[in-house]
Amino acid sequence: MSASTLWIADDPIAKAVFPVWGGTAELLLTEPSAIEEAERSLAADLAAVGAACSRFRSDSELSAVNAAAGKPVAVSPLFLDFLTVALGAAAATAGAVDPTCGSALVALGYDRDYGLLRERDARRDSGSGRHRAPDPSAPAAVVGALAPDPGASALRPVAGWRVVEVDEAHSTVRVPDGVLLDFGATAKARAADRAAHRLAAEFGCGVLVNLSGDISIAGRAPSEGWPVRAADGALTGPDDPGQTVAVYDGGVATSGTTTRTWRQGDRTVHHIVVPETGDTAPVHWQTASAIAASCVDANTLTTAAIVRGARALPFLFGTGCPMRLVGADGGITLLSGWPTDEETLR
Amino acid sequence: MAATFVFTTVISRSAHSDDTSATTTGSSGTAQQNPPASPGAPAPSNGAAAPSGPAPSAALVTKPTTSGTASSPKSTSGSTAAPAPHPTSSAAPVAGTTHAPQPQPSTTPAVKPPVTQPTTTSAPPVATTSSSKHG
Repeated sequence: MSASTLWIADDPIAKAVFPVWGGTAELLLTEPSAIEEAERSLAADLAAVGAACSRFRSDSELSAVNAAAGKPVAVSPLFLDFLTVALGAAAATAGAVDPTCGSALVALGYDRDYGLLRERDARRDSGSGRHRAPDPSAPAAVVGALAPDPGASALRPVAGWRVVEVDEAHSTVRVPDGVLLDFGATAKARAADRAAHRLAAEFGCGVLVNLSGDISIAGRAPSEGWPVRAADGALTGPDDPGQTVAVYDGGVATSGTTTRTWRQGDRTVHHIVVPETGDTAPVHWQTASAIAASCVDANTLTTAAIVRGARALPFLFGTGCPMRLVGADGGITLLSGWPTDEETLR
Repeated sequence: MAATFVFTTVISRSAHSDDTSATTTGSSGTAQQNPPASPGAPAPSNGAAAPSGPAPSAALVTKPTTSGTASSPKSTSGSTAAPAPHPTSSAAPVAGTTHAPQPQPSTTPAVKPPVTQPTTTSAPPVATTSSSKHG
């Protein structure tokens, strides 16, 4: 963990950065004196979320639900909260953002943390890993990492979010045997929202929580807003393609088809699944960025945009949320008040 | 050096119009869109948010540059929101028409916009949102 101070106009901002879930957590506060305590609190928050909701931890509640072979599983209020959010995103998008996509992701080869996926691709490139025995010290999800790709023949429609049974009175969750939940479309966003609002209330200041690109803002923003860059690709520097806008509340998220990819057989696939096919979404938008009332809302929109392509436009526009959509051809579509500036037209 | 053509389409609500079509200025022909009520789902909508009220107006701005490499148009998911770019040597825009998304039955969106609209800024970014998420 490390903390530093920066300025937004005349406002001092404290910033802490630490690794989490294979990515990076950034915490920014308008009250610098609170940064160390807030950082510890955020880290504890995220550890609890990982223990409940990670698909890549064999000891998580999510893994227990997925492995229960159709039996109900007792879960924590934290898990129920994240499941409720995931089901809400599915309902809001008529199933475009579906938490039962876990089995489809596994069929596509996404059966471990993304960093480990890239390592597998590298080993296949070198031809060194095809017959290597599994590492017994690896996490459970990684055992069998060198099994061949199941191939496109294994792809099938996902079961759909309505198969998830929630018994709130008994705090249990049941999914049919073979259905695998995955909270990838909403979990980081929900974690960012929860943390940002809790820290803003606790410390009485403006807060920005950024979990590997899922950004939530709470409390009083700096006078000129939080300058947030929406990157159009994997490169996230200020001179790389994208646009910086001032955001004052809510959440910001970006989904894309070009940066979080891996190989399945002789094709490249990405992590966003079309529920009706179980296959990776066709590339209509390279990236979709949204600003909404919460990071969950923003990420719901950006994921729906990738899943549905141009057909999502009426829905996206109907929400009134500012969006920046970068097409496969590089064309940029701005919705509902996303600012236009010279950088966009450059 | 090959030219890069970037189309920018701006879609926003028009406060004084209930017209369901919108004019687009661009460098290529006509595009039409007839989207379904839900976000493109094959199944019927279960109350997903849909636009209501005045139809959006759209403006297409073409800005050719002389740096970088021209990207080839690619569309794999049906109709497109904007005409595909034509990498010709002419930078002068030619009037065309894009039919904006049709208004849908009014429902309450489950997804809500921010309280305050984002604005332009020249300040250096303090955070970046990108699709290169991990975990």
